[in-house]
Amino acid sequence: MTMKPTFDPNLFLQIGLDSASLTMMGSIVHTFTEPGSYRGALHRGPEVRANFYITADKTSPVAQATIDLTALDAAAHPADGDKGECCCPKTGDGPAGGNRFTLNPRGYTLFHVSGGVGGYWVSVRKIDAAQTDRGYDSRALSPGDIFSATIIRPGTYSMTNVSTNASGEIVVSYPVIGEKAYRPPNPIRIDCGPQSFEPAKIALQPGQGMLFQAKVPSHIVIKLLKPDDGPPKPSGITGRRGWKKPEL
Amino acid sequence: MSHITIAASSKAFEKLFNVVRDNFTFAKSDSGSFGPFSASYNVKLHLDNGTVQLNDDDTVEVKNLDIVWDILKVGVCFNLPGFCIGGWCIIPDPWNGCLLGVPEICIGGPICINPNLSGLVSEINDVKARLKPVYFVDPGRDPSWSDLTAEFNGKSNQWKIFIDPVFVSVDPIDIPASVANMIENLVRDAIEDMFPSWVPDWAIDLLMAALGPILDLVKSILGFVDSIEDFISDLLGNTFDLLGLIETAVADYFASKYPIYKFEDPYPILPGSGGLIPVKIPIRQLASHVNSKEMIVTADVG
Repeated sequence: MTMKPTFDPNLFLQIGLDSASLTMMGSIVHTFTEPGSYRGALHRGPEVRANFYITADKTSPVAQATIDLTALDAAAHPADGDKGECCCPKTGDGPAGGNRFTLNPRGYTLFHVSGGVGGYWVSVRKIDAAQTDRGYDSRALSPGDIFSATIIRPGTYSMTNVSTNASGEIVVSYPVIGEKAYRPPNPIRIDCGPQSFEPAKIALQPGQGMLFQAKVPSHIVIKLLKPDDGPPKPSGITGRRGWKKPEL
Repeated sequence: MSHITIAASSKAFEKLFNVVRDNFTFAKSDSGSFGPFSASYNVKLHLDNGTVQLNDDDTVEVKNLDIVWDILKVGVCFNLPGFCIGGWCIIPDPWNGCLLGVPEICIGGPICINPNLSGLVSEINDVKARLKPVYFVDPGRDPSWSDLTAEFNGKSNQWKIFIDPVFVSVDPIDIPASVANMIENLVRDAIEDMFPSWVPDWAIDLLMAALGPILDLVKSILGFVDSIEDFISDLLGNTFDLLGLIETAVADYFASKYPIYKFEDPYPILPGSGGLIPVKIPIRQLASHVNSKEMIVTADVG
């Protein structure tokens, strides 16, 4: 039997989210409503990592373009070994994959990170746009965009819309081993209004999603304020086994 | 009427049988892949106890013969499904479908558990046999040798009397219920070992919560509904056919490997001494039978 481990340490190392710097825990949904051809750039920090192309075609039956930023980066920089284990070579929707995507203008484009450290943002501009048109920059969510966020580390978090100074609080409960296997509940929807989040206080279970729906230009930042390490372990049990010098 | 008749009481027969029993050992290892999991075993066993009964229908019956598993190690490997985040619908469509969903990211991987069940005792519940005399010509004997030369060289011909089973039945391996706890702990340890040491406790607790009760998880992955002890018993006994292999090994051993008694042929009557060679008589038409009281061996001289 051939078995392949699927374990990405970044899931446990990256605590907190930033819609302007996507990781495995955060995705962005955007719609390109104007028919036409778009050219996009994948950025990590100041660096352009890859280019991609989106065609919004009224005749296309495709309602969703899923763009794996990790795979785009890996395809453009195959020598880099920092992309986790889940990069698949097929990224685009053509027969051979690649970096071209086509969908209906009424459809949705999902930018997500399938593995690795992430830290991505995208800029997309219509190919025939005027020079003054700066196009779409995912660091500033447009009204109608959705930021999908997941937190698995239990604790209390702050959520801030940097663009509006709105703030709120998220409490992620500690996992409990129950009679049945735990499955995260359905995601919670949060409206990002001009002055506030609605709701502003959120109680989550670990791994439960949040869908931030931008009503105004938004930049969502989630930071850990106070970790929850669960109930104290019974004395002598640390949760991890380790070597201990035997008592004489 | 036979020239020679020798009898051994049932008690003497039992002592002879005990020697045969105590010389039996069996060792084997194997592995295989069974869809959602792979498994292996490594066993070594010997026999103990048992009651011997001689019957008037010329059969020998051995009951309640213990199989002592000196080594009984099992290995089971499977893919842990782990814990997935994402996968939910962001934009549902009006027809109860989903227009836009987030891909899942899953944590998981292969784990192996190696329960050590050494020391267990199971049982051969019945061996039914008849006695079978076999004439043995030592393959190391030079054809030109006389019987005397063969004796001097330790290569005499022999009559061997074997217990020739017609039926051997081994009980299923009785795995104790306490093994369930052992398996649970082994799986838990294997999961913890899957993670690097820096992975925080909360992450392991989250994974454990996502996995739910360990034994339920193992059952669902390995695809059985009975108890874990029944699964292991069935895996060893039937899937690997270990019971059949033991039955065959026991039958083969009793029937041809270790006789319950043997006679040198020609049989020494007087030992050599004072320059005289030993006096030996050839034994022919040896037969062995039992009744409820004794084993009787008859033979002719000539």
